Amino acid sequence: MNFDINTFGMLAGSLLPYYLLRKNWRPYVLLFCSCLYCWFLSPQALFCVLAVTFVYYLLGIALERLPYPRILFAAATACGIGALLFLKNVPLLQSVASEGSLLTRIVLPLGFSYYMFQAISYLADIRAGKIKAETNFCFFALYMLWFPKFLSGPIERAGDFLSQLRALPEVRLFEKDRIMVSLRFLLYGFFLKLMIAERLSPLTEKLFADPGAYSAPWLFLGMLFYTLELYCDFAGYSYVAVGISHLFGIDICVNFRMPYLAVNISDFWRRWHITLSTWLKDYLYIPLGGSRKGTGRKYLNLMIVFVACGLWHGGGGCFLIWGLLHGAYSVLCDLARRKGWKWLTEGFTGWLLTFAGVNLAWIFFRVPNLSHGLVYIKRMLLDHEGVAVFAAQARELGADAWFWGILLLSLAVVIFWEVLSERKHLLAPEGLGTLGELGGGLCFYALLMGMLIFGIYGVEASHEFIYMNF
Amino acid sequence: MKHTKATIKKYCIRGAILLLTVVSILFADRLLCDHTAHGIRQARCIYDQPEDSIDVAMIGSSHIHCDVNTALLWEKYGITAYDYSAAEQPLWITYYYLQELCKHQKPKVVVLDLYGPARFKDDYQYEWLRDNLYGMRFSLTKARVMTTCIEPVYLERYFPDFFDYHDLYRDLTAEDWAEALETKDARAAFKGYTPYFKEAQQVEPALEPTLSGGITVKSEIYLQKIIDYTKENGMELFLIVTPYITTEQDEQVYNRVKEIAAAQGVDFNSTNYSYDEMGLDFDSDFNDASHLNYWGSCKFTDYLAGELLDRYALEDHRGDPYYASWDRHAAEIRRQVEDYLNSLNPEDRRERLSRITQLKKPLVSTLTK
Repeated sequence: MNFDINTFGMLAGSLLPYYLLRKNWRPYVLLFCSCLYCWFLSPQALFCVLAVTFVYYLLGIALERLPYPRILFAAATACGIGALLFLKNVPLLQSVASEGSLLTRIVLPLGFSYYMFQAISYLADIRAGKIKAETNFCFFALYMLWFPKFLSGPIERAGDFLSQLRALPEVRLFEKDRIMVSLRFLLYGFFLKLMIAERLSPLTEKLFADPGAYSAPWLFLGMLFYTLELYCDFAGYSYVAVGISHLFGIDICVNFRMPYLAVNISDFWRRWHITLSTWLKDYLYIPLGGSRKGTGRKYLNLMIVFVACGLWHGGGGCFLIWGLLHGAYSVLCDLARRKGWKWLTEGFTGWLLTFAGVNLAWIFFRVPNLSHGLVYIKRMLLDHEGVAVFAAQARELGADAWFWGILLLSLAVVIFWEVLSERKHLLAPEGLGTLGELGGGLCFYALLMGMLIFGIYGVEASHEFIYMNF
Repeated sequence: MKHTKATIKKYCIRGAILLLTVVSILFADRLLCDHTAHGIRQARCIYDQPEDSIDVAMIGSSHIHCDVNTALLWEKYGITAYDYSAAEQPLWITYYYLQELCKHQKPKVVVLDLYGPARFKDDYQYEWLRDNLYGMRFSLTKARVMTTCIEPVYLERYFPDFFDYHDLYRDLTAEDWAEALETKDARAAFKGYTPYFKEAQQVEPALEPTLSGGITVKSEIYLQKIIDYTKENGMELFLIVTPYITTEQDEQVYNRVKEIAAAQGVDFNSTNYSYDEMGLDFDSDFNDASHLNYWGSCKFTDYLAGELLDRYALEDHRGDPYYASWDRHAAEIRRQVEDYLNSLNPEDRRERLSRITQLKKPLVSTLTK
């Protein structure tokens, strides 16, 4: 889902018919709106998702009714994964393809990574007997196309999602504080995106584009900024998607639980892009044997999973390195636990090591190629220049007093909020609801006004969310 | 009972927070918006004018709010005029401006300056669009303006306005705060006129155009709409060209408009043929090639007043307390002129004062005391 004035128009345009028309029509209204949304994004993307939806809808039914379900499932999964791998690596293939060839006209359809994984998980759950095949095509299509999650996930499980569709006629707009809960998620999500992610984006763009032009302190800050930008962008989006879905009575998965508070890498992956990591665990790691076949096999399985995770994000060496790094971190974390070195996997040291390792890996996530990443790291560690250079580069980057003031205040708000919510075992947006009516209302007001005045939006903002590129 | 009390309390708090938010957003909008006098201030202050007090609405481009001295019209003639104009305003925006004006005003005469359609030929003009749009309150009229003057692909750049200028907090000045906290009376005292004080020597144009044409289809359509609208609403329409360094191409458009005006029974006057009658001095009466300065605007306005009084029956409202905002407006213009004169060295000040004496206006007697 993009963020611009059209998004709000889309939302209003969906809410009104949803609640005003006949209740039994609700899933079909949502499907229509989702198709419309997808059409406006890209007619090709709509065609592609409908084609995939139709094929996997039939496959789901076929898995239950036809003989040789194992072969059918293997073939369907292989095709899906094969298509995904091919399309992810198309930019690389295009760089060597002849001009004007068919290959140069192929692009990864919007949202493909997300709904293809959903489709595969759907078949896997049918195969495992966890769910029954969905016989209502429109319900299945809504599962695949639901507009708040179409571009950047979360990767929903069919069982959780489809069961809610049958209960949609019972949903009331003014029950269980539905509007307030949704508004809290929306507000917090947009706060992360507009106050932090969009503010950092122009700086990380410049720093990562040309690391040779900046001094080590700025490159170090660039690494930190990107770490924050990525989280605030992706988590912000996810919270907005949760908030919008909740307005319609659909509860989608939360994709983040304060990942940068993790004290070890396993903890990090239980908090970051949760739906992807659980997908990989349930449909790759466990079928490979998980930790049931000895330590060596476990470590191999971990490396395979994280390489797959890297390749899911994109083709090329950088994502592979990123995946390998995380795989290595996971192996080292497990080794440290086995040795009883708790100080490495718990407490402040555990947190510091995890945060540092994740930061370093994100460099490879951001740079266009491996050599660029190595240049970045080398300059970050070795090239130090004076304060005067730092100040001059600050001016060039636009990092003035306003930038620092608003950034640090916004980060303080987010950190305070997330730590407080973590202690109450709540998500940050849920934490807003625990301050009482007056306290919560004043916080809501402060965050909203802060965002409206100091947020980066409008013409100069990017509108897009980073993870829609995957 | 307890549950009901708690529910009432909950909704009261929520209502209060909502009210606080709305008030804050409205104030932030007023504070952060552009405060230019190239159209935004003119469009904002129209809403604070006393109901049905404007007898002559001056509409069109910046030629209006630079050249038409509404303070002089009031002080010397008792004419209540408002310069409801904006920089490079095309006729399609002027048409909707007129509709917006008529929501709270019933002017007897509408004076329309034709510089916009003569000089600018694009069907979508973006250079001064913000000054033309951001002063107007949101309404169906404004929605129609936007769909007429903005291509669909660019709409999100200009709507909502607040999204465009919300980041001007970096550049706030004391004047911005003062304007945001301005009272309704202070806003009512602004009548659109913004005097310029620069002097840029110009060459008097030699005009001998015989051809007519060059007006775009879109401009001609909206000119006709304006003519029809004024007729339907019982307003006199006076089409004018204010003095500036015109060109052959511009004059061709004015010739075409003259033909349309003649065919429709609408008054027309290109004042570029009346420099001598006005007493315009090309050495000292122009701010730039397009606009008169304060001295030039006084001469032109005097001439325009004569034209208006010859053609239309306009009341002299001087002395009527309902029109006190025009007294405050005249005082404010006098203050601006005095501030300018006080910024000069004694010799220049004497020279400017002598010019004021020659203008023979009530303003003169006040300043020369």
